Amino acid sequence: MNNLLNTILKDTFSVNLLKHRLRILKSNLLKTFFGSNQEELSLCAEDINWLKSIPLPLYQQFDKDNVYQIFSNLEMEISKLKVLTIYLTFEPDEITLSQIGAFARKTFDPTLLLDIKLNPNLIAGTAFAWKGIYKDYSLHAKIEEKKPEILEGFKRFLR
Amino acid sequence: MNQTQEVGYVVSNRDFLVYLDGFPSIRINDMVESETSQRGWVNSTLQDKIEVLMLDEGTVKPKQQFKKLPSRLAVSVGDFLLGRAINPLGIPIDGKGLLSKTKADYSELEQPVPGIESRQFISNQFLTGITLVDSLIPLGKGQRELVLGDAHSGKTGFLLDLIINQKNTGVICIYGSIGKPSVAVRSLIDVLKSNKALDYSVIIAASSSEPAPLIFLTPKTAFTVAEYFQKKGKDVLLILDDLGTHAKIYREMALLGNKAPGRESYPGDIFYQHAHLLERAGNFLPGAGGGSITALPVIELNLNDFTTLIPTNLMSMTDGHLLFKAGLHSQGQTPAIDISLSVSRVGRQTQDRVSNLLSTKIRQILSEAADLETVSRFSQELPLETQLILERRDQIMELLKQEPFTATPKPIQAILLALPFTGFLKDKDQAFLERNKKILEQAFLTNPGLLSISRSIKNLKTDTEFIKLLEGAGPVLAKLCPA
Repeated sequence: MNNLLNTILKDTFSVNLLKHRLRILKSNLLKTFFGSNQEELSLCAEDINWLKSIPLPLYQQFDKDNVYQIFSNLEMEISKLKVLTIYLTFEPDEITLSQIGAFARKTFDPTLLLDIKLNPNLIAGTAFAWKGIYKDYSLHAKIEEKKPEILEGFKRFLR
Repeated sequence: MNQTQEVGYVVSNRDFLVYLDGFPSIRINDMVESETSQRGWVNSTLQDKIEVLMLDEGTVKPKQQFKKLPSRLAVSVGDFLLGRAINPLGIPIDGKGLLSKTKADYSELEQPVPGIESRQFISNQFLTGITLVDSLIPLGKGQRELVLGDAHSGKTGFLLDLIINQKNTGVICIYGSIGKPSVAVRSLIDVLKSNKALDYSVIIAASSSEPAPLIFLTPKTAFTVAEYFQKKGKDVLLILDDLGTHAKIYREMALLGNKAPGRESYPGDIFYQHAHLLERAGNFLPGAGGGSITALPVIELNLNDFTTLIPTNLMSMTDGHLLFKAGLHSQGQTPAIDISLSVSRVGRQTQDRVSNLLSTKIRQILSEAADLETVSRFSQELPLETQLILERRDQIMELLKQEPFTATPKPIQAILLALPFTGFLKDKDQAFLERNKKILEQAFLTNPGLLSISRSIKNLKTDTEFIKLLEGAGPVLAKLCPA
């Protein structure tokens, strides 16, 4: 696999973050090659640190002529990556995301990406969609499963 | 949603066409539903995505989740459909409330078409009650006859007559209204209701304002409902009004889906789509249900040009066609069928012998008269023989005219067409027939002296015998119809 992509994927676990990082990398390179010196990219400290963390030899492979081609190749490579969709009831912070991502990569696929979706209707727990199969391990599903018993239980308290 | 379910995510979408990723075991004609309850139908499966046609209006966004529905593209069928109007997904649209589904069968819209081993020779005539059709261009039960003509040439009126005339015959009528305005569907229901024809009819309609994929499904649903009644041993009349709109809707869908356009921008498989539909009609053996489906696809022509792609395609996949002309309609000929350009390829084998011989004779006179017409315009005095042919042609054309909402019983049709060959109508002009046609029809139905003639037609062998028998009725008729 592409060396650059491997580097990016090392600490990028979600699809959204991957797309964001690719965009800032591309903007930064385009500014370097084609922009004026006065132009400044409005990036947060986190993004600036990430850009700085990319090793110099990887930056050196880019030039004015190949920058667009490399990015279109990268996008093609990314479209081939496996994506695990996770439905959560909360928005995970970066540490939680990295923990889940690292665990998933270790268990299933070293290049796996996470697609985090919010669904408060799940109440608690999580649901996954993997290769077109949706598996619901949430409290909502458990309640649905045991709906008749729960209703029966409630009925006992009805006057 | 169940604990484990197949899902897919929108990759891209264009109007009602959506491409989804996921669904590992999806098949064509499976149904999918979005989180916002918009249903779609799987039209094709590609290498890395599936193509879905949306049946409900609304916006679909990229990355939206779709789940697979347990049901496939199907409609619930049963006797409860009689007298009702439904949309192609089986939802009632006539405001009469929910369908009673206690005895409902669930039938998929796409089913393998019964092969040759399930079919039998078409041997029974499909009586329309319209003299011109039953005598000159007869239809058989299980035949596919294309109805084509200009706008305002009386096609819809003719089709309504056909349905109304099936009263008390046991024939079930299915009317598939494809992309017509909702007002037209409403008035169709009203006409059928006021003529008490709704009790044995089912209307399947998708109006022009509905999504194209839903309109596209109308003929499939109509055939599925027709097959239900056919499998119960019933004779079914199926009208598809019209397949020209259906072709245009399919063209719209295909162009949106980036399929290569062919002649007149229709996709290459438009012939397959129509042929695949019409092969579902036929006369079936008892093992396959025993009933029959007589299909009448309709197509509206532009400026009477029937040489364009869709009409010629349909002509080649049907067993004949009835060509309606607006010109004839405005001249007062109802039904406005052009006899010389209409054909029935299987109906003649179902006709009784006398009617068959009689219709051959009439066709001969009409064609001779057509040849002589040009000559007659230039000459002052015509030989007697020519005059007789032209006179008979006028008489026949007058006898073939039929008012809307009227049915002529089979024996009366034969009698009317044999009359020009008897002495009774010698020297009588067209105006005489115009005045007395109804009296003649009534006389053969009720007059005790003439009833025996109407009843004996079945036992006769040749048209000459029949004409001789009618000669005997001359004096009675002369009394009834004063000159």
